[in-house]
Amino acid sequence: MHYKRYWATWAVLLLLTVLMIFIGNGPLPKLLLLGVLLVAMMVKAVLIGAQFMHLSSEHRGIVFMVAAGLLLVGLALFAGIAPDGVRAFELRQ
Amino acid sequence: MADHVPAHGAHPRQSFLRRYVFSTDHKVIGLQYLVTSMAMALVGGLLVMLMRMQLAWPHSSWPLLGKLFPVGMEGGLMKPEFYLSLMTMHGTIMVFFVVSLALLGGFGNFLIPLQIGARDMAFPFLNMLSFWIMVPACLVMLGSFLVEGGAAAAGWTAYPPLSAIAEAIPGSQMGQTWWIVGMALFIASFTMGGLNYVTTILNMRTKGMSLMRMPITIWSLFLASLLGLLAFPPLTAAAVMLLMDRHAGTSFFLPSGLFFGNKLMEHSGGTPLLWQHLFWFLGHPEVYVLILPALGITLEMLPVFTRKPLFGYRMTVYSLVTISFLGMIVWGHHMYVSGMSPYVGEIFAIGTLTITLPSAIVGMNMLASLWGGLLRLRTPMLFSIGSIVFFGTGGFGGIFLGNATSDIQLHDTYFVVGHFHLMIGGVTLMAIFAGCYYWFPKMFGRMMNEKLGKLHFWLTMPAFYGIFLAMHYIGLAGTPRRYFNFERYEFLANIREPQVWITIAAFLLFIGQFLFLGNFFASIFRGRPAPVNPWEAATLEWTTPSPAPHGNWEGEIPEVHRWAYDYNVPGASSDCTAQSVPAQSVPVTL
Amino acid sequence: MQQTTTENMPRPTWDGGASPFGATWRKLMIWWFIITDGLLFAGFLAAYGFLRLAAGGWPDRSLMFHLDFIALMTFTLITSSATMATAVGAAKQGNRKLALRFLLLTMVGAFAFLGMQAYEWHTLIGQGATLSHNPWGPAAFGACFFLITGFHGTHVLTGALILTITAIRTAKGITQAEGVEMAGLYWHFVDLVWVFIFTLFYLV
Repeated sequence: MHYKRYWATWAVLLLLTVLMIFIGNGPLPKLLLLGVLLVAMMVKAVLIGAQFMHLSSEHRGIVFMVAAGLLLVGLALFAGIAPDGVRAFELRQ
Repeated sequence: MADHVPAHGAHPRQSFLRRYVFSTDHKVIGLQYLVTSMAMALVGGLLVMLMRMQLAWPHSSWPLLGKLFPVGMEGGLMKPEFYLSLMTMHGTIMVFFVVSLALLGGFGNFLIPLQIGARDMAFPFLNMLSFWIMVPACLVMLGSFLVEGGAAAAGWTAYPPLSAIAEAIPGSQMGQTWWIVGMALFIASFTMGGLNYVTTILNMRTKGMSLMRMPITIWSLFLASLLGLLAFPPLTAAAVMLLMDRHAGTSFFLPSGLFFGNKLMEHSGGTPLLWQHLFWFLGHPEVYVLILPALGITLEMLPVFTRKPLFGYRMTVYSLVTISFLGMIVWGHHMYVSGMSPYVGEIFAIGTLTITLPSAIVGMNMLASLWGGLLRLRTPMLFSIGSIVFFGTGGFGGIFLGNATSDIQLHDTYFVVGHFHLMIGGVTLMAIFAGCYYWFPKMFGRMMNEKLGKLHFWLTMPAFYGIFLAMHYIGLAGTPRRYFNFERYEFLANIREPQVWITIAAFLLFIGQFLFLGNFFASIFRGRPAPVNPWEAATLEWTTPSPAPHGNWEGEIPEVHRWAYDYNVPGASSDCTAQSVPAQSVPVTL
Repeated sequence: MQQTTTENMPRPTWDGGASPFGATWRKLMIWWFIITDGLLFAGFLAAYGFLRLAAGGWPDRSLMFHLDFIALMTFTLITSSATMATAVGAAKQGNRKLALRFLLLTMVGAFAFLGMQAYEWHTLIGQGATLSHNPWGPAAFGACFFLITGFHGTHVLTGALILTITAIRTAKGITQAEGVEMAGLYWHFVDLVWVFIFTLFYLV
């Protein structure tokens, strides 16, 4: 069947989701937990992009375009804004 | 594909409405954008004339204007809040509805298919939709003057809390909401246009038109569309949040403890800093959206009117790409005095000063393109040189403002006003004029009047320079921007006279533009008929009749065999070799 | 979006110039649309992160959410994405019947998700959460939560409508494989956004 890879992806995504919920309720220290969850989130996102949205079989140019456009710009936005969130908190204390 | 070509060339006659109003032809849409931007420029210019009158003669009464604006200028005297409305709308209209519209909407639409060798845009219907969403956007912006409280008055940056709380200023009543709606429509229209430009440039180029053979204008339009597509969405998010703060009681941008009209606001938990970040995340790339196509058009003129190849084409392209990339990540340099974390500010400052390197490369390539050329000082070339001059002068101001240390002194003074007007006012305006004079023959099949054009240049250039260079100086003297009257301040007694001179120069500048408008519209009907290639240029649009027919080329679309600037190739019969000339007849230089 | 871009357009007149990505101009356009739409959510989520950092404390998630219910919502959306991918695959192979069947399954998932989200909102509002206030602590939570899940919800709704139109047109044989693929890309994008919302709102 050609559709096998979709359902394999589906299984992995579900497994990851269950794992994330499980870890989220576990005793991990806060920062480590955050790191693990963010990594798992990115893995899920990449899986959806690569398998469901066929980025794995698209031209590298499109992959680069999406990665640069969405991930890099999103990261830059967050990286520029987040430090000031902390600062706003500190200034209020 | 080929079977569609004749269908395009010999198109059945369409009704007037389909042909000129709800047209899907990129050339007609481009002209619609261009004319709309001219109308908006008139409005934006009139607004600033009122402001300049107020600044030069703060106590004079203008009874006639009092009748025209019964609320804002009651009895002929301008109210401070009306001044702020004028300033806000001048900025918004000029940045978004004039320069963006003319450069991306106007020239983008007109030039992209013609210069890359395509019959039309990738999505002609989307293109038409984009224009017809822009029209209500313009109307909403203009209409906001008529709602209660008048137009928005929080500046084109719409900083909260001024823009978020209705009690803060009359303009923050319904006017600000209309402003947000107008901007939302603008963004929707721009996104449609941008998607169209990017896909068209990537996928619809004619045979042989590799990326590195594209005219520099197309490169700049491509990069500008990309920047717009990437930078506008976070502003949309911010605008939605601002709307919620205004009407749904949320506090995204509003801290606790705000007092307005003797009333404690219930908001708490937000901070205006967030708006500033999200706004400038668009706001900074937006100035590159404006200036990149302007630089592209400026560069496009140089080889044509110096009769030699563009100097450092590849390096210029790489520099423009670098500028776009860096332009996305330096938005914080507008916020040095906002209370932003100084460590982040440091990074933004370093990034900003890094941009001077690729910008200097572009500037140097412009000068080197002029060097040793056989100058033909026609009107487009004059404006192109004017653009280079503004780019250089304005760029110097940027070095001071990009540096946090000196910016803290200069922030919110007229130095900033002078700087950004030279850059996104001067460079872009000069390029728009250059583009209009240059491509007018291709638009209407007639030439614009050369004498009037030169007169227009000599009225525009010194007046523009006079205004904004002078603003640098009064800014250094400490004049804060956005004040409607400086008489109260002892230390600013010296700037009263310069203010009058600036106003007179501004009037001259405004009047000078009617020469252009008159020339433009009269030449449509009375101009000298234009040949196919009046400027002897090498790019593709000059291989089709003037004006270009529906479908752009009557026969086959020309194939491209060389880059866009093959001038004075050794062994060629003429000093300019069109891109479509095969390699067998004339050697290819790039 | 679907109708305006898939039908009645002149075919590309470019014949042999190199398309850098080997993709049709329609696919290129939908990808750029997804990038811009994704950055809209990036803006919202960055604002949420900022406000959460600035607030210092944040309401305890176990008080507000029933995680097993949220897990069910996630399951629905991921499953609908898998059925959509299958529908696209079937459409590409010319198996219209199979494509239609899986499109309908995807629609079921879409509307089920919408119903569950409505139920969740209803519960939260019933407990006193609004845009400007919530019983568990910082008011910014209510504003961010309703705004961002609301925006995602409208995307799901749009997606459901696109799916419906695509299903009808597939049944009639108007929509080709590429049309289904475009609808699929949009639908997976909606799922993608939920991955972020799920992690950042319900787990962190």
